[in-house]
Amino acid sequence: MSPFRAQLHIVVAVAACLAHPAGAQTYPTQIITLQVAFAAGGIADVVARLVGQKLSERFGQAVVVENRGGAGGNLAAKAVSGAAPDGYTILATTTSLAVNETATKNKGFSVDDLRAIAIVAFSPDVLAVHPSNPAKDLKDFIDNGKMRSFTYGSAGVGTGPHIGAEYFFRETAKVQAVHVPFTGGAPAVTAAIGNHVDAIVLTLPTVVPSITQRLLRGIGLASAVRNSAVPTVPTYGEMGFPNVYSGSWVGFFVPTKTPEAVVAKLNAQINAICRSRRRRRSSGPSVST
Amino acid sequence: MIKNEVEAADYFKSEVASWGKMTRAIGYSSD
Repeated sequence: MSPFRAQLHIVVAVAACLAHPAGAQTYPTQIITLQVAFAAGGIADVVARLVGQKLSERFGQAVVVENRGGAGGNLAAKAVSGAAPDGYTILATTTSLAVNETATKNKGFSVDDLRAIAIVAFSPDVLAVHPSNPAKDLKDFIDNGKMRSFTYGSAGVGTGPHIGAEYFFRETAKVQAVHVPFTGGAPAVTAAIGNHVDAIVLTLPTVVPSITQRLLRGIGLASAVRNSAVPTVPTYGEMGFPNVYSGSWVGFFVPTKTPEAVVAKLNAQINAICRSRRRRRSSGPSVST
Repeated sequence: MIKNEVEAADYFKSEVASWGKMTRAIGYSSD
């Protein structure tokens, strides 16, 4: 190799090494768009707006939150998966992204096109019954279910609690359960309080007020540990059904090819925001960050 | 639920696998 070509190789190599770190050091230099996969007011929207505001303060750059609901969260996920991998387009979504990977074949993208930068705001699912239900606990409830089928309500077909509960009843507990889908968590809770369904399975925050007011009785938490918002509700494991974990989270994602340093920077900032909120919060542990 | 970027990616992969297993077992499809 001639001395000139050797020097050229060195120059090219040094330039390549400097390219990404310099970009990450200065990131962000323009507006960041946070695309929420669901309508305003839901858990993904609330968390995204909170994180977006704090990111904007920390970065000194505007963070615009756009609600792009539709197709069970697939619309926004598809848009972000095809965006430039530069850290300026971020997806805020829920467990639905993981569910849809298998449940929805023709969605125009794969989870391999997205990279998780932070997973926050986890909440387990809870199984609750009317206080008059004869079952004294989850084991009793399942034993009764082996003798006659029962109904359970959820916030809708294809939601995490529906899939988690159906799997638990069918594959783990081996009982006949009839799913009654509602148009959201609130109507499902109302139906359970009215004793129109034998049970409901929902993410915990939706049911906490009804359990604490003793309008409903929580008999199983799909989590490894109990939750301090409802400390009397045992886990499935405690009731003889180990390794039953089902819950919902909110996560932030970027296109897969986003530079590592940008991903690390976003992860550090989002985690710092969550830690800061956790320190300030004295109650409301039903959603953990 | 505070995870670094590698843990977050690993957790998401495990969630995709876990929900995939449950979704297939119950035969659910939104197509």
